[in-house]
Amino acid sequence: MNKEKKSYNGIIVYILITLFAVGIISGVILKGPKGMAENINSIDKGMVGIVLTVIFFVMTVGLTIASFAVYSSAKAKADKWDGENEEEIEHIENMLNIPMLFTNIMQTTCLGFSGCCLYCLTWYKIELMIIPSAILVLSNVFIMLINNKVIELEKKLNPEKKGSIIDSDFQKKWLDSCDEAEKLAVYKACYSAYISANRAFYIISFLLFPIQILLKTGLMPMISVTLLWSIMNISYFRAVSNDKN
Amino acid sequence: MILPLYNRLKEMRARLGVNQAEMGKLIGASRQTVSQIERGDYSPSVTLALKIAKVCNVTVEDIFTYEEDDKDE
Repeated sequence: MNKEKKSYNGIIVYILITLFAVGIISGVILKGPKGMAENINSIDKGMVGIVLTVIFFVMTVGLTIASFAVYSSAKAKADKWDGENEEEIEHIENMLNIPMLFTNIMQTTCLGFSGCCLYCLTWYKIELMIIPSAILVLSNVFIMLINNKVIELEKKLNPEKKGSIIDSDFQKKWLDSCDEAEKLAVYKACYSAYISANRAFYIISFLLFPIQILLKTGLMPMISVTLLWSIMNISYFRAVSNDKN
Repeated sequence: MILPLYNRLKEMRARLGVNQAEMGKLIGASRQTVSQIERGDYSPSVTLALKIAKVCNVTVEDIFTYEEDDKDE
């Protein structure tokens, strides 16, 4: 009972601190130094667009090269593996997680980067929008190439695995070919991601209160966050309900 | 209170003369799962434990031992 009381007290304190912080930030923005919001909105979007495009390009090239380098090293070791050395194969499979991590980072950030670049560059030179668009297309091609190579190597090392990256239901096929321990690891990872995402959505929702006033972003960010959060929770509870039935 | 599940899977596998991948094929699990079970990082389900025992031609209790450790109570 004491633990429950402590948890409730913790939640209440957390909410109060969040509301206080939002209140302070909103007060500073609305009543703060004159022209603060105007100053922020007058930042040269064109320059921001160019800087973001450069960062986008460097990130894409860097992660692609790093992914290919690690994959090539893992493949070379896998080709030499004698089929018996257990530590060696563990090391190779840990190496293959690295390009997957990098392509995941590229996948999650590329759309965001290209969206921001395109938005900012419309204030500068519309012709320059072709650059982030090209980087987005190329990054998706690299992501598919790297993922395909890693998956094919994983299937060579673990022949029981099924599915190809070009299959529309690749994730289902792959998961179905996993055994009980691998499925449990996936389920634990998904639950951990669900908990983190819930916290992130909660914090972002509160931060959007002052941000939408400060940057005059309109209603779309709040609507998007609410929609995504709702979809995530509905999917989760549907999955739990289906499992019980 | 720690409740460890000790196992002799590596010893049984050595008796059969198979590597982890081959053991995995015999019991319908992946090489990684066999490795995790041997290290004690994963406790197999009842079904999998029974399959392992059948492949090794022993009882489940010959491979897996359940011991309570009350030191941390």
